[in-house]
Amino acid sequence: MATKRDLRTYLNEAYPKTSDRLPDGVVNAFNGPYRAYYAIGYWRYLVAALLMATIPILMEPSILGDFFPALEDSVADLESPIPYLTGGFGIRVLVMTGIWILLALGLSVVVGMAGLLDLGYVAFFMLGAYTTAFMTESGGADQFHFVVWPNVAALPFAILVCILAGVALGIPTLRLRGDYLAIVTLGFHEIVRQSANNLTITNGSRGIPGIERPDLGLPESWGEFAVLSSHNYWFFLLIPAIILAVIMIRHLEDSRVGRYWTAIREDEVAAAAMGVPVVKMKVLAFAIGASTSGVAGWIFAGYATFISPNNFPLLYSILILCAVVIGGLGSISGAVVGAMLVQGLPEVVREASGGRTVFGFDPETGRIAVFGFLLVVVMIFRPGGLFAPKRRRIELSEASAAEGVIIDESAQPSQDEIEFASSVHEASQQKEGD
Amino acid sequence: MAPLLKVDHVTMQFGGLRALGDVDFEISEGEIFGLIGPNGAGKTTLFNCITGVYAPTDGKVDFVGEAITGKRPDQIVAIGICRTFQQIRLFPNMTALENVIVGADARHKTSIFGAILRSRRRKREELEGEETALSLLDFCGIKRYANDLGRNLSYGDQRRLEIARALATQPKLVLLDEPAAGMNPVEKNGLRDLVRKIRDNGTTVLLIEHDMKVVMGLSDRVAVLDHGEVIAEGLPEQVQSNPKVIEAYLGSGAGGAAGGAATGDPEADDQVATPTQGEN
Amino acid sequence: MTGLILGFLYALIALGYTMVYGVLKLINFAHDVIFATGGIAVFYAFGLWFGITEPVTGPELALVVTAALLIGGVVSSGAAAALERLAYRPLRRRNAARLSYLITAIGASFFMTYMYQQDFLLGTGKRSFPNFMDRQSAVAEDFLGTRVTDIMFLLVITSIVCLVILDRFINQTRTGRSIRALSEDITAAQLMGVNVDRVIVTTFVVGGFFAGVAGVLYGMRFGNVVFNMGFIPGLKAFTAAVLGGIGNIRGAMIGGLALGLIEHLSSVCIGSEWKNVIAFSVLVLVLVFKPTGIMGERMGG
Repeated sequence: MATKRDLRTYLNEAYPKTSDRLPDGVVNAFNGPYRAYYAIGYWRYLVAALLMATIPILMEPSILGDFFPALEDSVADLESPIPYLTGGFGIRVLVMTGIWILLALGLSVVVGMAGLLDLGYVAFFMLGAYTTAFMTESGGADQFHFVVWPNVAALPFAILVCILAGVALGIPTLRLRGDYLAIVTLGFHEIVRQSANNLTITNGSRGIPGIERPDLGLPESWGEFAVLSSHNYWFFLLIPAIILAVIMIRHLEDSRVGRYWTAIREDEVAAAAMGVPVVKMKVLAFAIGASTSGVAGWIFAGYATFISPNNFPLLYSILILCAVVIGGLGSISGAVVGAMLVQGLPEVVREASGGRTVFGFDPETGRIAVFGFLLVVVMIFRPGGLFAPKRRRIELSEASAAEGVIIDESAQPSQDEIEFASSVHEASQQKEGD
Repeated sequence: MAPLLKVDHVTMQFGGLRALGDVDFEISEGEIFGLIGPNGAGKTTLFNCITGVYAPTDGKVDFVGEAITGKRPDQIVAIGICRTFQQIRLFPNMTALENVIVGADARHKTSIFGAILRSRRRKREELEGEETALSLLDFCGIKRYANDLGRNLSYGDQRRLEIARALATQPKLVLLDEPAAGMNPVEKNGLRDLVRKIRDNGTTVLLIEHDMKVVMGLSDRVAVLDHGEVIAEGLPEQVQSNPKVIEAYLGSGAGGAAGGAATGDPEADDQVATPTQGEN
Repeated sequence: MTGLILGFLYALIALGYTMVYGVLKLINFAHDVIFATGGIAVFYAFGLWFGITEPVTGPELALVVTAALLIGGVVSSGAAAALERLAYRPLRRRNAARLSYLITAIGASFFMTYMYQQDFLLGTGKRSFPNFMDRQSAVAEDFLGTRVTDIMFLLVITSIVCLVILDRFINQTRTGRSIRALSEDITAAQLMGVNVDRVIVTTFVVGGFFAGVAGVLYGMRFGNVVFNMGFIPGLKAFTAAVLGGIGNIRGAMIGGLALGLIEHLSSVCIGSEWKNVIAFSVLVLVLVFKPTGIMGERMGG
């Protein structure tokens, strides 16, 4: 998948204004790495994975000592160069951010690629987590289980349940128009969450504690490599999951499926007239989007070892939507950066302020106020979000002919419309004259 | 010889409004068939019935001997019929090439798994799709615009692009809804040649057109629709001199636009929820 | 019985949803905050600023109650007008895609809700609503098996009055006609000389006013305000609007009552913790099976 273009050409096409602002010197300096990165084909994902792996090490250099006992002494006193997100705290933030990145990637398929507004996405996340709890050691003596298998066996089922839920949600609702679909997904989320709150099999609002952690089955002699500490969650579960999700999305973009989703976004009626099976494609989008939240749910259940309906408020669905929209619809980097903004940044702010409020804003809840505001600002001033390529921005900023357009009063009626109106008027005059 | 398309006593009722009444005609393979009639006569509604946008209230449509009435639009394409729209409906933010590739995708079989896993079939079909699209753009005379966004093409070129996209689905029958609308005489000549090329290439054409010179010059046979009913059918010369046809045009000519509006004509706009606009 | 009374509340809030939808074909997701704003405004005005927190009696009660309802209504309509001006109008000017409106609405809703949650405003917990009308005093001790308090009675009467006023406004005034014209065919209305911007703002203001009144009544009925008090009632009111036929004013009224009844019945039969699930299920079912609702989509009577 080598790219044949230069960095400058790419920028000119996707981000022309930014391209104008960057001088040649800067762009050329990065051109080498840019071309090299793509020239190595799929190996670049390994490079990305290695880069991602350095983050926990930067946060807590002494980790190296755990993995490589020989280095233990030399790294024991190293300080982390990263501000605020250091040590165990930093890594916990990293793991949660990684989980949110998975969620944002999934939602970006639904909203960004297929153009379906899903306001209840976290319901799938919740289903994934609870499925895991139902399939492995968890809870008290009377906790409901389907089976009690090792945690890793629950993963494919978590994914499967989410996909089925996505299909079940999609089939009856995808004939609906955008706004209605959004509300239905919201209703779906609340139904799932409230049911979890009320049913005994989910142990109601008390939640399910003591969920078994996944056992990767690595031999004990591997030392640190075999233990599932926080940083290993990142290394062995999140990095592969994120990389795989990114690969999956890239492959979809560049295929018949991706084109069909774009066609549906642009003009659903024309798409159907060109042979696009619209409903099937929409259901597929839901299913694929739901699959990453299945993985995220499984990872979360094993990591937190305790889940309850309070872990999955509607608020989070909206926050992930903020992440995807502000980051940039239709852009993978957008989804990743968005997730980092929405999950990681407030943690940094909270640490930086020493746990106090910032300008009167409590970081945990104030973030939604801030991001809600940003959502409005982004929609008005930069519809595509931060990283959306130019084409998407144009697409989002103007209604297509296919939608019922909400008219602007200052736009004058067209010549056609004026003639039409006057001929209607004439005709009715004639009729009255008869 | 069995007809390619058989419209069999099709009626289309919208509540109290009868848009099509007992429409009945056949199209044979390899011909160019013209469909004319004054504004609001029901021509686009008929297209919509054939292509699955509407299910006729009565009657049926057969294609190559099989009933296709009430099938979904995408199923109709798979069967071998494709259409263009009266008011151009391109994918505005996709390039011309991408627009046509979407059409070509109708004949591809790469599944979601094939897409994610990058199967060999996917690779093959991607290459095929691009080749087919380029050659169709060339066929329609707009190859140089392959990488331009649909919205940036000139009006005449957009119409050609729509036709190229429809042809990419490899239809046996293509329905063109007023392809010459808004074109200047030079463009219209080009269009005439293109339609003949399409037929000569093996695709049957059903054409709605208002420009008499265009449609009479092109069509092998013509049917005339007025107020939802077929009032004449036959060779162009026959139809042109048919007194009923002349009256239908002249009689409704004075209040033409008004007539179309007064019947609350649903076919005057083939879009979903827009204000009605007068036809050309 | 209490469920039915809540239905009137839903109906009042539903009016705002239905009117804005009728005119703009847009779900004003932020309407739930508009509703909350009314109650919160009176919480501040009466509770914190003027200290009217003790039950008032006699003719002064009428004055105080009217003032409270007006304050709530006016502040809410102001908020609604601001919302239209700042969030939706720029999108209309640009002829934005429908998705943009929805996302903006959601952003606005959550922005305002969580602003209210900050400590310099309401904070996270419930705050006591000023108790200027005796919560205990009852109109009837046993009406169809329920004790009907003064406040409940007020709620019902106020709602009915509001609904009647709105119905006459929509059907019998010139502005009301303009609103109906816009909801039927926006281009034709423009061509007939309707000032679209002004009518749209009016729609927001009127819908917002009634939501604000509902907010005050809610505070009086339940004795508290919370930063997210609008969310669930908002969703239920939207359900009511859809149930009755979105865009249809009388439908909103009927939908509200119907939903109140459904909630009450399900509370009795299945248990009150499932109330919300039932309400949301109604929403999903109506949207999937009969999106035009009980009374269809036309706004006028």
